[in-house]
Amino acid sequence: MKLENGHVSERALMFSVFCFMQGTMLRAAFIVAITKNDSWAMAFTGLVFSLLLIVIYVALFRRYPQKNLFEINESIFGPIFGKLISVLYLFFFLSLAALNTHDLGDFVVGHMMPGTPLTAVILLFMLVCVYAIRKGIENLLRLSTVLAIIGVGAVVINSGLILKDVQINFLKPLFQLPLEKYIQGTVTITAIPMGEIVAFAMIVPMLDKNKSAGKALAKGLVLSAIFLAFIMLRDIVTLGPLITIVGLPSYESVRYINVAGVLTRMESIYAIILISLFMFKVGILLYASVLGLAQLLNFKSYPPLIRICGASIFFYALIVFEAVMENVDWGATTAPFFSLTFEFALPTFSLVAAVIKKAVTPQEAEG
Amino acid sequence: MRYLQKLIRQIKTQNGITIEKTSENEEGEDSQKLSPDLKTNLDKIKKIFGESCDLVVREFSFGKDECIKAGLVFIDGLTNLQMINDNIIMPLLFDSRFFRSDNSVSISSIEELGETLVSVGDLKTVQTLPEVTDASLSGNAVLMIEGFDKALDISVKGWDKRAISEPDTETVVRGPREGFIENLRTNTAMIRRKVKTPALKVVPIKIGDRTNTQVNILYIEGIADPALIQEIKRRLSNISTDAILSAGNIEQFIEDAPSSVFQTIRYSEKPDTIAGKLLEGRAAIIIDGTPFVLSIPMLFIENFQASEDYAVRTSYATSMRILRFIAFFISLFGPALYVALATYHQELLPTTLLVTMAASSDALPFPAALETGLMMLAFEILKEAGVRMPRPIGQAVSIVGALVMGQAAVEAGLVGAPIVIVIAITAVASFAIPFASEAVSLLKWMLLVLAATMGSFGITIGSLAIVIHLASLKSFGADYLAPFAPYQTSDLKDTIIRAPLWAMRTRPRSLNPQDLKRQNFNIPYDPTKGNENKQGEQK
Amino acid sequence: MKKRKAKAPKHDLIRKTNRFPQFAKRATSLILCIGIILSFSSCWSRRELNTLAIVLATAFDTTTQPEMLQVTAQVVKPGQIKASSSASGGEATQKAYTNIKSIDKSVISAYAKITRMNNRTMYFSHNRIIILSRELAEKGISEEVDSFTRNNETRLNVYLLVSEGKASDILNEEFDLESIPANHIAEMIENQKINSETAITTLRDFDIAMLSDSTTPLVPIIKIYETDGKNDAKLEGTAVFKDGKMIGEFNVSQTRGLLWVTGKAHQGVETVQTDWGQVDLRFSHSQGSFKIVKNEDGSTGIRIKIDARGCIDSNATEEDISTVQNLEKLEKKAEEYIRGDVEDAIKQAKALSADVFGFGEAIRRDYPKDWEKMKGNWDKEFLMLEPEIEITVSLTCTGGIGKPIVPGGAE
Repeated sequence: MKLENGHVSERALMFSVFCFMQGTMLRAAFIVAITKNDSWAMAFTGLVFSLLLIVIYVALFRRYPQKNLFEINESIFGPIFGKLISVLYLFFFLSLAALNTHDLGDFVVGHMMPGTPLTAVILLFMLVCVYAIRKGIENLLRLSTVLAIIGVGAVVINSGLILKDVQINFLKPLFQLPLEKYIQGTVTITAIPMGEIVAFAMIVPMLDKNKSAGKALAKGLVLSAIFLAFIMLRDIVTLGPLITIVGLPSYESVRYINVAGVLTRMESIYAIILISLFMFKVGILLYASVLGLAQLLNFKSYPPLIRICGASIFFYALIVFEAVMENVDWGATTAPFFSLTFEFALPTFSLVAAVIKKAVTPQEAEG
Repeated sequence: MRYLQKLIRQIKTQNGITIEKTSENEEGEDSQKLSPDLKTNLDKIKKIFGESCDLVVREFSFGKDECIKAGLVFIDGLTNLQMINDNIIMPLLFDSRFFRSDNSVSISSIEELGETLVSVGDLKTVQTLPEVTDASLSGNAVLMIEGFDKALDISVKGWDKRAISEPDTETVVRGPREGFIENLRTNTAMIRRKVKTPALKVVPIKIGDRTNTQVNILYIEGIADPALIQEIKRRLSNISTDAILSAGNIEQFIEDAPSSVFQTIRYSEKPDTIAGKLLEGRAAIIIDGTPFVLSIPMLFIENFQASEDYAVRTSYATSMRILRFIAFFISLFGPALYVALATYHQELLPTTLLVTMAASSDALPFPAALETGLMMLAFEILKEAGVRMPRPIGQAVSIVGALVMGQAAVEAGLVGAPIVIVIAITAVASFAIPFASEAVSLLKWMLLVLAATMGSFGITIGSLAIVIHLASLKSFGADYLAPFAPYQTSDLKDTIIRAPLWAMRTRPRSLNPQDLKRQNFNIPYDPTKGNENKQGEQK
Repeated sequence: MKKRKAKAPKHDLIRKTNRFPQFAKRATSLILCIGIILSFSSCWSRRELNTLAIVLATAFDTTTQPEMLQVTAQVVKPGQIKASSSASGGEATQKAYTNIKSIDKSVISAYAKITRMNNRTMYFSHNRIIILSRELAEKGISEEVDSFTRNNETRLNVYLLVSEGKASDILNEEFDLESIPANHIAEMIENQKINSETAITTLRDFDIAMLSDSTTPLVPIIKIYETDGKNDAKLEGTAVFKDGKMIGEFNVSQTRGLLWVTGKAHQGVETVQTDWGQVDLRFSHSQGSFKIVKNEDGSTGIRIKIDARGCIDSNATEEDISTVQNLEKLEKKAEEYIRGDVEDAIKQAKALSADVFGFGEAIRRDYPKDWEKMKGNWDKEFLMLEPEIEITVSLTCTGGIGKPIVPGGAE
């Protein structure tokens, strides 16, 4: 009884990973607060650790081919305990979706249209996400290639336009901060944008049998890391020390563009790209939650649950933070631990359990 | 609530009623066969047609001593009388065979008559009354001979047709100017003239219980995907309705997403367009009585392709394509963007522009969104009126439109000049993309409402919804947004750009053609160089 | 429903059952919901164009009361602009702008007070310049800077100016070429790039300088002066700030020296007095930079390198300056002048004890460990710096003619 019958190509998966992370990249203030003008290097160190995470995930996928995360849990831990672990994952996906939605709502209300209540913005946004998943996750994933190209193109154009205002000196001094800051930065980058690809563990079964999920995920991560480094570099050389006090570095640096008095106010393009990328991300997270919920409740098909999950994310997003400062505080202190539990601890635990199980009961062909 | 339930029940039962009449035709098969008695046959035919005065029944006898009685049935107006006279009646009446002095000249079968005496190119034998009526309604003459229970269905079609002229809806500057007419056979002939290969198959099918419209499916065997043709045949044969009066009727019965604003079946009036689509692996449906031919499947980018693109040179064709894309965006987002910028995001406008717009909206009574909505409505009414107006009055309408809506309204201070300009540019842009204009004119309104309430966030959400909807549309198995959504690099050469003709080596993969290769040039192709250009040995 | 099973459905294509009524019900309810929600939202955050007061320039002054601030906003009158442009720019009987004043304790409260007197909302996104009076600058402007940087509407590329005298007077001046003083002043600032005698500062530059431990921000000074009974505004000199307060100023030649050192003097004119007379030089592509070097005794030194490339613009002498030796002489003279300006600037910086050049930042970037030691004492360290100045002047062309236009010059 398969809940999902769609197919996704390897290239679509790779670009989906890329688009998934691009949204968070454009709101990279949390990393800059820690490592200041060396933040661009954190992208690469974070990449190394995330590849480690992928190794864990791929090991799990190899043992249980064509099964998504929740099914794997049930296979390893048995029906009851597996469902418990799955509930934890479900909570994680829902929380991530709510956090991201709230983030987007904050951005729209704070910078684009002050005065609009957050409810309306989030409601409209969730409506589109629900619509996207209703039409099928395959279609959304297929759009990822074009979305990625458009996003990259927009950022490159914006960066080109701002070249005349950059001062390379802002990059210096290089690597002067104490080592613990770098470790903290790496951990944060691994946890927050890069590790969230654990949500793709629900999508990987859609890949055809003979394609390698790990390669697609890894390629997507590498692309994202390069792009993240590029964006941070651009922000650092444009804003200099302002980068640590400004709320949205990429937004502010794009705002500064003024070419011949004609090409100004480029932040509108930035806003459109951001909304699209966030819709993509929340869409995938919504799908992961819906599929998981259907799995947990042993439903035969998942479409009826889409609206329920969408509504719960809507309400969750409204209550998740009261003030913007809480968001920043959360991102700096608690978020890495929260995310890493689900991205690193739980999968490792599952993998270890799987290895033990296989060693203990070698005659069972399937886990 | 109860009323609503009753209403729903009514709708459900209505669907059960219509099918009954078709079963009538199936009972009493035997009474439909022709009898050897000529008079019986003719009486039955006269009874079927009843009061209709255009049915002609010509009884005559031929042969020695007028021994053989014959009856010719046809419908006046559908047949070529000259041919009936010269090729059916004359040979029968005056053939020397029947005036030989020796005794019995008899015809062994009516087929023999057809084979030896009737000098018409297309004839076959029929046995049942429905076939006789079908034949005569198609413009054939039916010849019945006393003593035989079969009849000859002789094709003598001839009626008044429109001359082949340039179609009004698709004018080109450079390229063939022929357009389809309402006659099925002429249309298929026009396509045959473009694609002279026996692999071009013309499959007949009759649709419509009362109209019995002839419909032909065209495809090129060896290129088109057999699964596609199978699906088309299945969907067409499932249509059981009263009347097929236009291509649109069939289109709405077989399309994938009837509730979507985007059309998933393209129509065209020009044979070269359809021939081109057939060669890419598509199928065409020609319907008798309408000059619009359907082409299946349709991709989103076909809205921006015109047949002229392949007749002009690469650089110009590419620039025209890009222009059409820009026109599409202007016509879709124009009014909505104006409202969003003027109401919510004034910081995105350059200062001088903002000052000008503020100056013009200083004394206006309505908010920007309402003004834009009113002007759009006015323009849509104008457009519709212009189409329905008889030609002599058309001039007055355009003058009224331009003067009243534009000039006078601005000067009276009812609307602002920038709004009129925006609406005018939007309207003109929508004419650059004739195929997408239906969808655009509906989506414009949705985006306007979203922009008026939520500014550019609303527009972004609206366009995301549109994109998702497009990505999930499928047209007979082909993804609507190919080659963008399932990203296929090799198909991109004919979308926003129009690659040089020698570079288009493969057919579009999204249509799943059986034979991918179109041509075999080395890239880049330089005609001045000798035969090194062709790869391998070409004949 | 029993009836339905006996007959084949009407259009058996993709849908097996007739679900249209259900679909219609759902669609109607969805449209109603969305309609209600959207219609409620029409009262949020929308601003019609005719409810905006577009602010093009703001000026801050001190008042007789010590804690109060006077804020002047120059708002454009769109209707008048149209009238004046269509009336061929001649007879503009009414001004195309109006200055709105308000006095209150801080920037934000003063603006809030304006709403009590005005029917339109102040709209700051198109604000181009901020003028601060000298008195206010000397008292401290950190509050103004903070509120403008924090606000979402304002942009970081507004130009800052300090005015000699009252700032609101500058906004009241009428200028011939432009109907709105704000546009005139903003474009005047942008014009300075040709001249390289004024330091152009945007809010972003000011912020970046203020965030640094060592650099002191600079703001150009604007003055009103009279010619022929009419008032005109002129940019003259630069104000130096430290800890948000103005502590002194640089005159025009010192400003030029400052621009040479920081590498912002790209084009300019220098009038050189030679033995033969006066020659004007125009510099077209010049570069200046400074580098931190380590001396042998371990202390840090600064090396300033200036590379000026120019042409001869006018020759008031009778000497043929296009010969190679004369060119070399001119180059030497020009070098002296530039050196004079630079040294003057450095002296004035030391007198004010203000690191306007950004030496401290450069040390921090290149030698962070040394910077840690010098940071606490930077004021004194700065005074002890003796930069080496290396100037190269190359005159590459002499314009259209070579020899001077004097009797006997044609031979």
